[in-house]
Amino acid sequence: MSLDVCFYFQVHQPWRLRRYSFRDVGRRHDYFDDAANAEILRRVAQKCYLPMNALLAELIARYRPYFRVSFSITATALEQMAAFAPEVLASFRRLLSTGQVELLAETSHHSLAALYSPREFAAQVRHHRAVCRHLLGATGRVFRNTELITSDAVAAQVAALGYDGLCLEGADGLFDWRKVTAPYRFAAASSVAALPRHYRLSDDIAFRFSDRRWAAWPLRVERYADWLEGEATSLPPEANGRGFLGLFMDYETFGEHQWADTGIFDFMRALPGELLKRGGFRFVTPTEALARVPADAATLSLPTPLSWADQERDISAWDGNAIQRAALAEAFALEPFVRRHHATHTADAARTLEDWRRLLTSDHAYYMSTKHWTDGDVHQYFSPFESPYDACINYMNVLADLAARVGAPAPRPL
Amino acid sequence: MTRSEPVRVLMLGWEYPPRFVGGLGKASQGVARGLTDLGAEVLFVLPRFKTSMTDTRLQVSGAREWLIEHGARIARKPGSPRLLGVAARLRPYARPTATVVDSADGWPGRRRPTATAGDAAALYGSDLGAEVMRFAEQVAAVADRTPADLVHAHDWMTFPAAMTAAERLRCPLFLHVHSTEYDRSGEGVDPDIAAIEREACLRADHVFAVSDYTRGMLVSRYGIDPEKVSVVYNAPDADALPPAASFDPGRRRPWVVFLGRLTFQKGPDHFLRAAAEVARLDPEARFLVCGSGDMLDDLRRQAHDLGVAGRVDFRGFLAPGAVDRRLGQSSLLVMPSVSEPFGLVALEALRAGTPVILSRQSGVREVLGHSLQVDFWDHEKLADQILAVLRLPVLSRQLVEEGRAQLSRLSWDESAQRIADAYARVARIDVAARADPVA
Repeated sequence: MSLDVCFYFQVHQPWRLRRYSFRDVGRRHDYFDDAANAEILRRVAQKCYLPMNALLAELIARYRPYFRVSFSITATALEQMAAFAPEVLASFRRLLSTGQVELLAETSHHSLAALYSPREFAAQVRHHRAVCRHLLGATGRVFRNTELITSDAVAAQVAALGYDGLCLEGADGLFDWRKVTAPYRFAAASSVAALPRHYRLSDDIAFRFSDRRWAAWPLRVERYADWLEGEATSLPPEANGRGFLGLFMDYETFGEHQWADTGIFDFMRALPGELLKRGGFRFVTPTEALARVPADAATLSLPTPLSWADQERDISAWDGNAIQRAALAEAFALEPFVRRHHATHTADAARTLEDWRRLLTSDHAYYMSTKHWTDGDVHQYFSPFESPYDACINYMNVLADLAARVGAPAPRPL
Repeated sequence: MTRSEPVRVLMLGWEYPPRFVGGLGKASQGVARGLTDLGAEVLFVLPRFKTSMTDTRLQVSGAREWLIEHGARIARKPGSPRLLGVAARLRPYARPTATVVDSADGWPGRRRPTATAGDAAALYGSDLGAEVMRFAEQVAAVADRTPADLVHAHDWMTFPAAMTAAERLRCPLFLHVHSTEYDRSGEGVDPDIAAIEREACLRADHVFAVSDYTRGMLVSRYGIDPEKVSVVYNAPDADALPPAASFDPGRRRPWVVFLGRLTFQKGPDHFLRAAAEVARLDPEARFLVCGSGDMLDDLRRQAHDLGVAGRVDFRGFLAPGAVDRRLGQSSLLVMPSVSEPFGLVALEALRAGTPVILSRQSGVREVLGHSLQVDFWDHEKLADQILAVLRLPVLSRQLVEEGRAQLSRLSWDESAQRIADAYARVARIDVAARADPVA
């Protein structure tokens, strides 16, 4: 009985909007807060990207060829690195050049296009490939959608784009009797292998690691390895003695969400050696993992989308309330106007397409979430706005300006 | 074995419906009714209340009227030796100074809660200091003639009376702060009034504040022990439950409403500054300034200077029925207060199905997360929020629906329960245990 351990780290930074008033509409088209975006990217680079990349490089060198990891990096993050911290790009390129690191494919702008516009979805996937090739010299062969949003419809779109592997959340509803370590394919697209995230073991690192109220705190590598061995010894027969363990998490876990002084770097430094010493573990990339999924693997049906967000593991973090749904609908309604404008090849055309895509980044809708927003007391850790309503107003102002630029009627959602 | 009597509360106030100017009267009524619902017996005494109203376990009466009814001789005038004897201790705080009522500094509206127009003048009189002292004297006489387990007093005008009464009755003193002198006057406080508030809160057994904002004010301005202050939020009127009407933008006019006394505290000037910005960008928007007060002439001039005089209607003081009707026709209520301990007007707007923008310098925002909020001085952001509400019905609808859901979790029963909890905790007076057994 052995386990293929697949680490995949999500790297994403949105282009955050600046405060944009309605009186700015028609007068200025610089929507993004360059100062804040640069500052945040540089801070995360110092706390997470650079030290963690260095650590991974060290581990890859020490355990070559046995230690492998994978990344999904959005184009919005890559372009901010290029603009504000090019040394981070260089460090990712060095990691990729070891041959032990694989990229995943996704949308360029961390968007919800898969749910709203198959055409734009395909365009962003292609754009992401191009940006990865240009800035990193590599591309991904296995797909992960924004926030692991996955459904039958998404799987079908991914298959049509030629990908044969797709990551998804190992959510309770889907996996309460299935084993998350077994091989699966998608019922809606049997050419596509499913790579599920083991959310409990992933979140032990990503969320609980520094939680002093957690029974397992402080988490030691030996204990964590014991849990992984527990998974390895309880594999279902379909796994044929070799299971899959998806440890998918935000890369900012390391040094940003969990600060260095929590011991997160030391934990990761010790983990590969501990697992390799015990035997029965192998580090794999997504491409290696899907090669082990038999053609007749059991299938998964996902009529409604799953994601890795919140307790609900659905898409309500982005479309859970009326203002979010209105904002998303208005943004995607601009698509034909943006395309027509883009086809004019004017100086503004390329800029407009990119601006629109940056507005499609799911983070903007996330800031408008009022889930758990009771009694005005919520910690909006990621949001640059004072409230979801301010986020909505600011976004709709920008959208009004963009609409005018591309000759669309002003958004007036009822 | 003796049958236990209900807890008797001697409650002191300055306003009570139908005689009230602002939120104080309605809030005082909510507290009194909530406590009687829990089983307490409340004698609510205020100055100048001609009609004595009696409800189940609740009697509301003017001090003078109550004394006459109970056969007291009350012919003495303020300033008589007897009055000064009783009130001597209070003189440093309640000296009936000219500054309390005159507008010598040219900023009449900033000085105190004596609105000068119409009803307010009738309620607060032309010589508030003397009025406060007269009330203290009368309440002392009331206290001599009626038993009470505790005294519960609403706002500073009643605090000298409350201190005297609690001393006569040798019973615990609870104060209820609906606003402080610092809210009403900013840094231009009347030192005498501030001294009354501070001294009374220091002496009280416990203080109720209408918001955490106000609690913070008492702690930072008056040095009151935070442990001694508990927050009791106001609630919507129980007898005017929100109708289930949903927000229908088609039935609303593009009216943006300011509703409140035209004083420095309420920020009508900030409303006009934002209005000027909105008017420039939204040709249909109109602005309704509903209320009366010392700043009216200044505001008219300001509207003219800002070039929005043609878009602003000064509607004067609105009767309660007219408030609901006006709000129900409008698109938005703005409460741009410079300092607002609570802000009941926000609850009235939501009851009428109208979204609200709240000053971040207010207490009501603590219970109404589903609202637009802005620093009163940030006119650009306020204008932006107004413009958004006027053009995005989806935003209005969500604000109203979610805001009303939050509102429905507030009730005077709940607030009264928190008050009763404090009575029990601080003074071992248990309202529920001594309530009339339900037949």
